[in-house]
Amino acid sequence: MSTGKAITQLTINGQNISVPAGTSILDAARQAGIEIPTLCHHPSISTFGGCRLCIVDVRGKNRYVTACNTMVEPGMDVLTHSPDLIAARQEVLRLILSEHPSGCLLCGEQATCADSMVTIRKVGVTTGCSNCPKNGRCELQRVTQQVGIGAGNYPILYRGLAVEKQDPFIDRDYNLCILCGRCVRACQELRLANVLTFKMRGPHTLIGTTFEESFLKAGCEFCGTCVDVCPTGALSERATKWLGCPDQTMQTTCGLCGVGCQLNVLTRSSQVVGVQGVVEDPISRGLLCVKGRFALPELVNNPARLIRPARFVRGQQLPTSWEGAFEIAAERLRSCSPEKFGMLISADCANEDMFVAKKFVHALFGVDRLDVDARIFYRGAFASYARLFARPSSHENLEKADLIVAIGLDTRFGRSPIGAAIYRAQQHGSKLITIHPRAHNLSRTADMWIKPAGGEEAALLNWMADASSKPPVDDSKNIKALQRAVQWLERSVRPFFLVGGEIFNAEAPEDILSAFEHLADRFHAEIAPLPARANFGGALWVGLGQWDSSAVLQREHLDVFYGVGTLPHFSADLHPGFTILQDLFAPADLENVDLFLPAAAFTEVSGTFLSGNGRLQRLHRVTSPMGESMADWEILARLARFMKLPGFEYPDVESVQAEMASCLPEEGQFVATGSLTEIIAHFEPVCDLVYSHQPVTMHEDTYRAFPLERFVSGMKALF
Amino acid sequence: MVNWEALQTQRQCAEKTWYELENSPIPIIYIGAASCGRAAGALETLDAAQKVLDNAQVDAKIIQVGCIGPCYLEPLLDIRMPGQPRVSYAKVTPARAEKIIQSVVVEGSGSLRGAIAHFGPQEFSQEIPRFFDLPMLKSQKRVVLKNCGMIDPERFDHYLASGGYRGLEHAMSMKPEEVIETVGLAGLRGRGGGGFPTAKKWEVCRNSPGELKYLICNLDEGDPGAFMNRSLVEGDPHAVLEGMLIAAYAIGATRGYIYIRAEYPLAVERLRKALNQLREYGLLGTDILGTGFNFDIKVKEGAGAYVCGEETALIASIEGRRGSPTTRPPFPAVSGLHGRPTVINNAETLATLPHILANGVDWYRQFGKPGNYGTKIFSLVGKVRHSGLIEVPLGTPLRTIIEEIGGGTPRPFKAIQTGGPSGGCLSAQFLDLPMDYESLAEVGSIMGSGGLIVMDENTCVVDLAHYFLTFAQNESCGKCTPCRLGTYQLLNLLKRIKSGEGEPSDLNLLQSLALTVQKTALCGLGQNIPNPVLTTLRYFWGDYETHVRDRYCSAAICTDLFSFEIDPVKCTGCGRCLAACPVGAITGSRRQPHSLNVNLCIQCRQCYELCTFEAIRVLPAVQPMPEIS
Repeated sequence: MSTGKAITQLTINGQNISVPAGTSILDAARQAGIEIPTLCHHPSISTFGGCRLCIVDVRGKNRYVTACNTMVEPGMDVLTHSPDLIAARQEVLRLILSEHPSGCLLCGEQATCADSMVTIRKVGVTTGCSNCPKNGRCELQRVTQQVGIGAGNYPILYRGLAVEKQDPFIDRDYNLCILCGRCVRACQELRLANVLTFKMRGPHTLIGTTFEESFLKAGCEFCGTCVDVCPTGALSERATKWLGCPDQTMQTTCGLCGVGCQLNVLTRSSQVVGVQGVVEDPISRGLLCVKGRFALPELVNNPARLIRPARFVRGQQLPTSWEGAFEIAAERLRSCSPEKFGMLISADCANEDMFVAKKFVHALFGVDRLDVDARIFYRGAFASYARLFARPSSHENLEKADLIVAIGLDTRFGRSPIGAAIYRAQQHGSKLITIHPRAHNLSRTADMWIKPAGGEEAALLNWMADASSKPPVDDSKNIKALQRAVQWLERSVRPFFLVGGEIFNAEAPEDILSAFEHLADRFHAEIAPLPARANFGGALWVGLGQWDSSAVLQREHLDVFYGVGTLPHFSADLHPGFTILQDLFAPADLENVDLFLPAAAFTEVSGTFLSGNGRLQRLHRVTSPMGESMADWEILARLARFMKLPGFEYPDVESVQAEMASCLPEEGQFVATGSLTEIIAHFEPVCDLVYSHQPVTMHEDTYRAFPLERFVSGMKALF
Repeated sequence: MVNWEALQTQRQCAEKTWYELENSPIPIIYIGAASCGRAAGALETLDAAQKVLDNAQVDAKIIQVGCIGPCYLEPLLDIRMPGQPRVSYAKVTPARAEKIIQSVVVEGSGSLRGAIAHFGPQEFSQEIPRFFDLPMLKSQKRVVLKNCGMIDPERFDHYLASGGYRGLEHAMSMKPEEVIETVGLAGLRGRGGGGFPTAKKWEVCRNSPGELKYLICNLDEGDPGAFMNRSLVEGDPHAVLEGMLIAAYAIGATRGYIYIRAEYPLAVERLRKALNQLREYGLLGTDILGTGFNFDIKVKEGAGAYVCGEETALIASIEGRRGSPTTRPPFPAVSGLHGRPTVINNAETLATLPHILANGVDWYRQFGKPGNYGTKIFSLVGKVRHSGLIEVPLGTPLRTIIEEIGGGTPRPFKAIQTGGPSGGCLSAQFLDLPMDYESLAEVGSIMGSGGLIVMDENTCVVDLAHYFLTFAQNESCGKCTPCRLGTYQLLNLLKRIKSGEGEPSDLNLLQSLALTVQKTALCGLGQNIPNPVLTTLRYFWGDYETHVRDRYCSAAICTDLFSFEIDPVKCTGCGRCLAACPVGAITGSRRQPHSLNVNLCIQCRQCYELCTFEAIRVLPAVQPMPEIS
């Protein structure tokens, strides 16, 4: 109806206003500086018209209409605050408050009370604002002030429900729920997960899952969108709900996987109290995964973090100063010969860390004795996987695809924004084929779920690329399904291939990967790797991985091993003479480490990540590093200076970046897609090693090689 | 390929069959076996009749027909002996059925003993009146209900013989726009309650862009005490289907849904059968009767939510979503089911269409009055002598309906609730109010789908409002605040008043809250459910006052607000009350005035209703004396 450009003129409270056609009365009034109270409306989701607070009087209509879902019309004459409207609104709000523990809201002692209620609010049951986690940022409080009512005249309908705590991360106190339905719509429209719904009817109406399942069973991905849109304290984040209102918000890049979502990290007195998505981020569109949304605050605030350098002698922790630690490290490093040294750096570290680490090893030993720990995950497929990063691909195209083929991809608790993008593409008519040995979240919505038996994946993919060859399975029903998949591929105009992490658990991931890549090429599909590690792309860019550590670590005895954010498992006879670990937490087995240097988490440093799709993204220092910990690059630079190595005088991270710009392939720029091709052209790792297949499921949900569930209680419940 | 000519041939065959039935050489027995008849035991009566016929080895035909209207006479059994008109017998229990069949059919006595009416010419009998001259039927105009009770609802040829599908034939000989114009000229308004001009709704839908359009027949009749649509579909399903075909042709719809309550299994079954017949005769599917018109109908059973009768909630329910209303605009006629232009018409509206199209605008406009043309079906229930399904021209005064058709009330008339739980409660001052959309709206009530509940002096209006609000509260979908919580708080207030804890200020609060709900609720349900409260407050303010000020319920309903006493002067000591009292609260010896112990009385009203001497008096509540052991 509206072209978007057409301008509609109308009158609100006698004021002439021009807004684009298709604007709601609510938005038009806001533009004119007239605030109409509302509770169920949220800009990111569809309108609901349930709270009835935004009623306005449009001349010529026989009833009051809701401003949120009535569009402006030319010549409309709207009244927003007539005495009758104000009275009706107050009456409606009184009704809303009769369903909400609102004693404090209507109490005359509000102001003086706040100071004296300091600890009592941590009781399990919320009976008023002063013991509610949302106190101070509750929209109902704001609207009550806005509408202005002094007293209620209806008896309170207190539901008397227990706070639901059986699911991880989210506490649900439906006694506080005002049934605005935002969470239901957010779950259905933004996340497309359809976990939440209204239950029952009339005054018994509640929000929950179908058949009273737990969120976990109902397929919840714990993205936290429902918590973000909840106007009251009904939904709150268990770990941070008592940490208080945030006083600052800063945007940074998530360091918990390679998708590279933008995060708004909320802090209060330099402590992380929450995380929210960034709606403008083209990849995540404001939707996060459970790791970024919920695990992050618990991880970086964790009291188990080691925040002081320490020596470990037979498992005993002996705190020391930085000076002391450097002295010990310098002594060991000086006496070590190059072929007896090895360094492994986590692919979760920033580009700057990797760059300085590489420079450090070169300066010290003159040889390339460092590798990225992702090699341990990707094993024999390291080279073929790295090759995928040289192919241009853009996640924006994912939503425009008409056929998506995902292999080994489960987006429920990781890479979830990609999952949401897949759902959106499906909504627009795209087909989804998922190849995965087990039931996973995509299998719920996929048009076809190919469930290969162990070891037959590559043969299957190869057959799909060349359907004239002998079928890999002899079951005619399955063959028919596969033939249909091939038909879809042939018809598809914009196919998109996605590589998940599950394939690296297979016996020969390199074969699967090559077959998948071959299939993508055969049908001219875009193919995107979705690395589990935050900066695997950066590691390739900086030029790590030229030295194949696995050959050495599995065969040779080292005098000094230096781990930056990672500590591989050494067999007993190959245990290094001295192990330096630079990390956030002490390893599980304290015998394995001799010197511990506390590193800062990614929210505490500035730097850059090269995300899976070739975007260079910035890390911002949201809080100061905990305790005495420092950024990885800074520790290495300081150690280098301590050892009198030249060229490590970096006053700040920008100086590192400046140097990187001058010596990395794409000069002066951080756009890396083109240059990666070049790097990888030279990149021929030694692949004559036979990797022993360990039948352990690769753990993807880690930060710097630490399983998140070790430090984030809620993560344990997910797996 | 079935085409118009084939249908004509079919009609001739049907007419022949009908003629043969009318002039059948064997006796024909009609049993009113719609849901109402079945509830009264029609199927048992049928079995008994069949048994007698089988035993006597008499060749006779039994036809199950729909409801003919006077439900208070159910089960109704009619007999047509060869060469004679159809004769009706009322309240035919299986035992009576055996006797009647034995005497009339088997023995051929020719007696009209026990019969209440006949369908023949005036001169057939002096003993019994013609059926349609019975007081309940005389003032009625049966247009839509014409076939109900007359034809076998499961026979396509019966419907065809009665002039069925002539309306469609006429419609399809016109352009769709002309059909809309005809319906507009006839002044047909939605019979579901709103009274919106049907043609206008169609026009909006027809003019909305899009190839795919839907037509939905709203059969989600959920008002307590309303059964118009059920009886209509059970008695004459093809009338609704023909109406749907006409409407679909007019608006250009290609897909139709019938949204019907799952609690109407017989109606669903009969609709399904009728749909199969239509498909068989080429009146449904692609290229109907070779005209290139495509239309198909699906039956969707609702899960029993009252709010799903609301258009947007109904659409949500068909789409598989939660049955919650959404804000209009967009109106369904522009963007409805699956976002396509959709017309939702009530079954009665649709069943009226064949008559308008077949008989013409002028014929239709003879019923009713300008602005309110046509007839309306009501279900007349409550404290009237003749309850049942009636059809009268719009504008008929309430008095005619209650006193002539309904036969009046046993005790003095007190109030009438029109339009079900969303309607209003009118007092005796409105007895001469014409039943039309505007007049009802003026006095704060609505036509609704056509439920009429008559109340006499034994009804407490506070209790009535409480009853309807309980219903409304349970049926509120819970989406919007005023409906979800407003009804809850209104009900709270009424509970307080009923239990004697009400304060005079509560009445004002009740009124202002009811007005707020009416003003601010999202959908028709929420906007109308305060009507019973508002109208009872308006017309029976005195009753509320006695409840809160005197703590007294004169109708003897609100148990906390009255007590019974036996008037020693009037009591004859007949002992009926004593025998009926379940708790032994009444004592006394025979022919001596009895006495009633209020401490034991549980106010079950049994004595009050049994006493023929008006010796049981209603008094303000007496505080029970504490037991002293």
